[in-house]
Amino acid sequence: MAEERHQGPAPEVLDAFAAFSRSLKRIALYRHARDKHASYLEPALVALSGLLQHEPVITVAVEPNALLVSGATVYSEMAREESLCFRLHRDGVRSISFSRGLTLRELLTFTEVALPDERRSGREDAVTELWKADLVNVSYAAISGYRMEQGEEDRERLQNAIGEVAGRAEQTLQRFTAGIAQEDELAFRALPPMLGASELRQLDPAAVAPLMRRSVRTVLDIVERGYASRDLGVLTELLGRLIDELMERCDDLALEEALKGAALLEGKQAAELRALLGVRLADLSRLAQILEHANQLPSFNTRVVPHWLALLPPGAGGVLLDALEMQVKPSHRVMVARAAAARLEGCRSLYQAKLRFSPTDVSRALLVALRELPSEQGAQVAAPALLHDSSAVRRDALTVVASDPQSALTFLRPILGHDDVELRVAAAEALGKSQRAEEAAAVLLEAMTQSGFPKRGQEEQSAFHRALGNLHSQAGLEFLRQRLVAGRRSIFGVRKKAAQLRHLAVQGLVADGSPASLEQLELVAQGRDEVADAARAAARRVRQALGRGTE
Amino acid sequence: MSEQVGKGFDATAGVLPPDRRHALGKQVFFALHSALRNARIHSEDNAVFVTPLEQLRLALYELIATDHSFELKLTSDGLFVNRQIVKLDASAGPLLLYFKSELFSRGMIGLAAQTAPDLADLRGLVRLFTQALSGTIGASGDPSRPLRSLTLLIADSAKEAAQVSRSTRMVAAYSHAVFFVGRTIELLHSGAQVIPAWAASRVVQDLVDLQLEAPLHFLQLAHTKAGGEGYWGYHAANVAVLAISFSARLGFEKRRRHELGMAALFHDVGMAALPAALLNKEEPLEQRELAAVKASPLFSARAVLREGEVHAAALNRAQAVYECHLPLTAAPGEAQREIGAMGRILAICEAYDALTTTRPYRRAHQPQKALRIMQNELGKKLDSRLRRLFAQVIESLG
Repeated sequence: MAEERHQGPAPEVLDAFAAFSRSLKRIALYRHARDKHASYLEPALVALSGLLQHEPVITVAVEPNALLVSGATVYSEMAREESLCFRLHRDGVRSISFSRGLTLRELLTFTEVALPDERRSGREDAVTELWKADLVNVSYAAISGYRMEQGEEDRERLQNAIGEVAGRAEQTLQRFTAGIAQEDELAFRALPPMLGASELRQLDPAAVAPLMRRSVRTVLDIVERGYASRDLGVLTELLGRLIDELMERCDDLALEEALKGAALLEGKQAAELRALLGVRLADLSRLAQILEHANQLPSFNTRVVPHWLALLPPGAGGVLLDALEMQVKPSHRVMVARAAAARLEGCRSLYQAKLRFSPTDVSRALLVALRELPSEQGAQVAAPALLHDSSAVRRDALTVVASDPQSALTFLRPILGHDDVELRVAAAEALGKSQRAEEAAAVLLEAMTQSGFPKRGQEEQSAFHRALGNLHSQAGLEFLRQRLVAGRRSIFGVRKKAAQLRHLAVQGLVADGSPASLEQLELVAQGRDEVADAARAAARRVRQALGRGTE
Repeated sequence: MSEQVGKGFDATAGVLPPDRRHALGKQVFFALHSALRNARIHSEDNAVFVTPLEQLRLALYELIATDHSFELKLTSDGLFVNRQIVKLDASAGPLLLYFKSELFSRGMIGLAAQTAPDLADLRGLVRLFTQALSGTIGASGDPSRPLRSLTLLIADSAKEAAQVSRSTRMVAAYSHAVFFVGRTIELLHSGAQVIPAWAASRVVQDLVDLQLEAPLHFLQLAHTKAGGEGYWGYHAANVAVLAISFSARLGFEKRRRHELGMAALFHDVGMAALPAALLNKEEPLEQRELAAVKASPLFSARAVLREGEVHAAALNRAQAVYECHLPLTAAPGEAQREIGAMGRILAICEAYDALTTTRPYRRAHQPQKALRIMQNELGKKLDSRLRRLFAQVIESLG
């Protein structure tokens, strides 16, 4: 664009802009540290001010990727959307002039306008922003004209239309301004404003939060009344951006209003809006942000997070599971887990993987969420958690798995041989409550007849026998009966061990508590050994439970 | 600048036939216009100037050879070359507006030469049009590199130049505002890509600046009226003029006045959703048609919101566009909507301009009558305090 000139800028000009360039690059690097930007610009201001001591105005030509003084590049960068020159040039700025008296505030404002930023809210174009900034010592020249024509055909239309309107407007001015003198203008301009500063603030607080709330309402109104039509996508995107802004501002009330509004929206395009919005809300970074807010602000937990989660689409389970790995409070974790569990169809494998391998808190939250599903579904999904490293997770999983009889039979069987004694006991107890008694008894008996079972602790063996008794199964009763009777003989000559087994059988029969068990107990009670003593006591308890009196 | 250049003189005194002089005048104008436009982007050495400068050189050579001198002069009445008015097609109106505006902004009202300038001199002229040199020129141009053959006609006084420039700029900005709205409605109606909002932003920037320079002159623009299909464009531009003027008197800051002006331009674009037959219908509207008209504010808001911006200026614009049509007190059973200051101001300006414009179903009311109607019949729709203040602004015009 700009041609090579024969005369380049003086060395002091190059030095000043080198300082400015360094400041800009530093700001670009630390874009987020807004409070530091003024200090980054101080060296540039000193350099430019020094230059302006000699030249009252320095004009810089703006190219897509460079600033030029007298045709020579004094600042360059890659031409990309996030660069300074690109934004200025794209928006029509062709030169910038700095004049004597330049202040740090002006340089900072100019830099803020010129540098693109990552604000999600979008911005006005650079020319409008520079115009609004009203900088005294930084002026700009933009491409002239209003550039409203879109192609040759439109240019002709514009020229015809403008010509006609201009004629009318010229006539108006000639007719109505004849009696207005320059003095009248000056007098009118000198009039004080009709409203004082406080009255103006009252009339027009220019607060952003209420504006955003009203805008959300307007978008929802448009959709609810069916006027969005082909702009539904754009309007939903806009609603999403408004929600982003409200989230940035931590405006929990407005967020609640927006999310509830979307959830309760009626009209034929409401479902489509919710579907589109849901996809946006399911973005992991947004979920992370909302959960972070919820960590810090209790009101988010109740006002925002539930509505947010409710709007997520069926396919958002995976993202929700990923979000669980973030630093969130236990109560939020359960909320997120419930939302994921409600979308299980799309994330079953991942859910199970998370159950199995996630940290304890996460896996436990996922198990809590599974309790709210139909027991069969919850139990099947929960099974991998039985193998989790944490015993707390394993016990929680066992509760969920046991809630479904078939799953209990399938998944608790191997657990009866697990290394964790508490888990084995819990599994046995859970199986003892199964509605499918004979099958559960078979599973228990399989474990109890393993060669290693007699080596297990007394309490565990008791638990297994009680569990077996609790089932009231035929197989269980028969096993206990035989063990009680067979135990009269010593096992491999070890009388004490045989007595232990008979004691265990007594406990099992007490748990069974049936008339048949009572009969067995009473039979053994006739003896004169320790087991007979225990059987007598047990028979009394069973009789009482059966309502047959004490003898 | 009220001098009628052509009057009292024999414009055909030279040997050049009037038709030929007129054709050469147009050639000069278009070449200069091209140079002026390109000078905003390119330096004078750029190849883009070769053709227009050659055309200019040839036209000047012929004019000077036959009329013995060359003088191009701009006045409020038009463009004159060697004292003969150069009539341009209506399609060249905007070009002339631009041309005048650019020259006036440099304090120039024309060009003159006694001898035919060479290309180097013409390139020197182009250099004067580049932004960097604006405002520093005398009759010979840049004192450091003076023009040899060409003489710049500088306004007799800065005041005179400023006045002419201001009127031209007012007309240009106002015309583009009208065009923008009318065209936007057309494009929305056909579902085509609309003109970007930044284009309107430039127009409104100029309107705000011009209001600051000459508030009384500026306010008179709102007297420009049109009916028929053109109504919406004029109406919106007038509401912008009124809103910018009124908010300035209230004490609103510049950026807020700009937002109001922008909202004014968009406040009725929702009418694009209605069929033209309905917009121009003279008979009372049916229930279904009334419902469609009542929906148009939401369509206006949609037209703004579809730009997808959520910064405060864009949201303010969308809300004002919608809220200016809402009643201050909701009907029974309807939720009360909060109406911001911009919506309240626009509602007043909108009502005033509509009442003072002839519509298919009634004649325009006089300003005083319009203010009375706003007080008596539109009391529930308009903010009473702002309405009283607005009346003061209008009444101050006499």
